[in-house]
Amino acid sequence: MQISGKILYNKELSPDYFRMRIGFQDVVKDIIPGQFIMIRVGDTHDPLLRRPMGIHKVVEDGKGIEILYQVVGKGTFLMSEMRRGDRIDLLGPLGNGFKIDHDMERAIIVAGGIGIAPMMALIEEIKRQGAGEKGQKTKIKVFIGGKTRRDILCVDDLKGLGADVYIATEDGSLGYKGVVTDLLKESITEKDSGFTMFSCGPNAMLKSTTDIALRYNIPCQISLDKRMACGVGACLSCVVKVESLSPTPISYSPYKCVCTDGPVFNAVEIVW
Amino acid sequence: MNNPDLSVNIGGIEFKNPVLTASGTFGYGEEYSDYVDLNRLGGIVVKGLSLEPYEGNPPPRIVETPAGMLNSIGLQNIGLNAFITEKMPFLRRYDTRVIVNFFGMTIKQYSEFATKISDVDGVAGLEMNISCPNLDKGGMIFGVDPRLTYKVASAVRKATTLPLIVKLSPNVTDITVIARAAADAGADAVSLINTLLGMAIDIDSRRPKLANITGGLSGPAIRPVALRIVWEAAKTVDLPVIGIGGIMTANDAIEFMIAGAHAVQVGTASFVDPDASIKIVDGIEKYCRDKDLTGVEELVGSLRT
Ligand SMILES: Cc1cc2nc3c(=O)[nH]c(=O)nc-3n(C[C@H](O)[C@H](O)[C@H](O)COP(=O)(O)OP(=O)(O)OC[C@H]3O[C@@H](n4cnc5c(N)ncnc54)[C@H](O)[C@@H]3O)c2cc1C
Ligand SMILES: Cc1cc2nc3c(=O)[nH]c(=O)nc-3n(C[C@H](O)[C@H](O)[C@H](O)COP(=O)(O)O)c2cc1C
Ligand code: FES
Repeated sequence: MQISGKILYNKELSPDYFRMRIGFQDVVKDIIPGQFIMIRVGDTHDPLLRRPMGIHKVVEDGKGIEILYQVVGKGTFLMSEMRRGDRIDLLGPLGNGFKIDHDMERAIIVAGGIGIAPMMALIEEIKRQGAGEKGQKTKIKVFIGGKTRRDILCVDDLKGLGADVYIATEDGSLGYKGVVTDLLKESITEKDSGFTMFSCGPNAMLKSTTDIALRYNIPCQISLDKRMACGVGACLSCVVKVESLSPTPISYSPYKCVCTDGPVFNAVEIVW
Repeated sequence: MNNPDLSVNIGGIEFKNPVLTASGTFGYGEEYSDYVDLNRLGGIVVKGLSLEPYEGNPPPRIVETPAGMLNSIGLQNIGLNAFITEKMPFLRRYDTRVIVNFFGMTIKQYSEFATKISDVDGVAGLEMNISCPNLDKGGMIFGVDPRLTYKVASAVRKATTLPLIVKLSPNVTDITVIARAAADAGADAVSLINTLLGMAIDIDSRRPKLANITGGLSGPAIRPVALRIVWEAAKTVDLPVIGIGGIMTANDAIEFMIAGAHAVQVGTASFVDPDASIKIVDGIEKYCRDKDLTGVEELVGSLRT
C-alpha cells in the first residue's frame, strides 16, 4: 500500500537516534511485528531511493506507527529534519514479520544498536499473544548491545513491558563490557533450550547469535538488513544466500529476497 | 475538445499509450499490482529471462549514487519454463501488452529462447537484451560489436515471427553503427538505453561498493546522455525507437518523444514512486491536450533545430 501519512512527532532520543510517530488517514490492519516500510525522504532526486525502516510500534491498532531510526547518512538526516504536521510518503507494511507461537512461554531477544527498533513491536505482540492472561506468563529476556551507552535505547520501555534487560557496551560505559553475544553466551545455559530466540542487528552479531542458538538447539528468527531499491520483490537488489531446498523447484535460486521473503528469516536458512 | 489519441504502433504492436515499464525494474508485473493499475500501462517489459534459471551476482548488488543507482543484479531470473507456468497466467488477465525481455550467453541460446517463447499465448513481442557477454567469443559483449549484434539479431529474427525489439547498450563509441546492424538484421524496433557502466568505492575499506566491482548506472543521472543517444539512433535508422533512461516525469518522457522516440520505458522511477508510469501517461495526455495535438505520434521526432 502507498500511504500518505502525517508526522505526529519526530523526537531525538539520544544523539543521532530519533523516534517518529506517523498517523494514517485510514487504519492499516494486520501489521505484523518485523514488517517494514519504505519511506520517501524528500522530493528531490538526491537521495533518490526510498529508505527501509522497521516498524517500531503499532499505534492504536493501526491508526499509525512509530519508527525508531539512527542518522547515518543523507536520507536519515533528511528524516530527522522533518517536522510535526509534515506529510510523509511511505509504502507498507512490507515483508514477512516474526512468527509468534501461540502460548509461547519464553523468549530471548538479542538486539544490537538500532536493531532494537522492530523488537518493541515484537514484544508488545508477544504480550498480546503469549501464554497466560495478556501474555503475562511469557518470560522475556532482552539482551541489548551497542558501542557505548548512547547506543542503548528503549531500556525503560522494555522494563515497562516486564522484560528482563541485559545490557552490554563495547566500551563498558553501561552494563557488561564487551559484545552482546559474549554476554549472551555467558548467561545462557542448557535449561534455556525451551526458549525462542529473536534477533536484529549488525550481521556479525546475527551470525554469532545464530551460532549460539544452534549450539543450544534454540529456534531462532533473525531480521536482516540489506540495501533495497523497490521493497516489493521487483528488482532483486536485496538478496541473501540461503541453504538449498529439496526438492528443487524449476525456478530454483540460491538467493532469497530480504524484502519479500524476509526481512525475518529462520536463522538456520541463511548461508553466512 | 476531443481526447488526444495516445496509441502508438511499434513494429506491429499496438500500444494503448506510449508508456511501458522497463525490464528489471517492474519484476513480472505482479510485484507492483497492488500499487499500479496494470491495465493503464501501454505495456510491461518483464525482467530479463533466459532458457534456464539464472543465479545472478553475489550481493551487495546495488549502491545509490547522486541522482541515480548502480546495479549489478547480474540477470537473476526464474527461467523460461517457470515464467510460462507461474507468471504468464497472471499477466494474461490484464489489458496491456506483455513484452518478453530475454538474453543468452551464446547465439544458440538466444535463438532457442525465441523459438520456444513464440507459441506462448499473450506475448505481444520480444525485447532482446544484447548487453550480455558472449561465452563463445571470450565474454565479449554482443551489443558493443556491430558484427556480433547483426549475427545474434539475425539468428533471433529467423527463429521467431513475433515483433522483435533489440535493446541497445550505451557503452559503445558510436550507437548509430550498432543501431544500423540491428536494423539490417531485421529488427522491428530498437530500445535504448540500457544502463551505463559505472563503479563506486568505499574509501574507508578501499573496497568496491558492489561485490561485482562494476555495475550499471540508471536513474535521472543518466537522462541527458540517454536523450542524446536516443536522438542519434532515431536520426539514423528507419525503425521505431523506444527511449529509456532516467525518465521520472511526463516532461522527461515528452523530451524523448520530441527527440524521436515513439514510446518510452520507465525504470528506476518505479522504485521511487510505484505509480510514476501512470502519472507519466496522464501527464502526456494533458500535454497533448494543452498543445492541441490530435495524437501523441505528432510529437515523435518533432525537434526543431
Ligand atoms: C528491512 C530493513 C529495516 C530497517 N529498519 C531500520 C530501522 O528501524 N531504523 C534504522 O535506523 N535503520 C533501519 N534500517 C537501515 C536503514 O534503512 C539505513 O540506515 C538507511 O537506509 C540509511 O540511509 P541514509 O541515506 O541515511 O544513509 P546512506 O547515505 O545511504 O548510507 C550511509 C551509510 O549507511 C550504509 N547503508 C545504507 N543503507 C544501508 C542499509 N540498508 N543497511 C546497512 N547499511 C546501509 C551505507 O553503506 C553508508 O555507509 C533498515 C533496513 C532494512 C533493510
Ligand atoms: C535493478 C535493475 C535491473 C535491470 N535489469 C534489466 C534486465 O534484466 N534486462 C534489461 O534489458 N535491462 C535491465 N535493466 C535496465 C533497465 O531496463 C533500463 O534500461 C535502465 O535502468 C535505464 O532506465 P532508467 O534510468 O529509467 O532506470 C535493469 C535496471 C535496473 C535498475
Ligand atoms: S528491494 Fe527490490 S527485490 Fe527486494
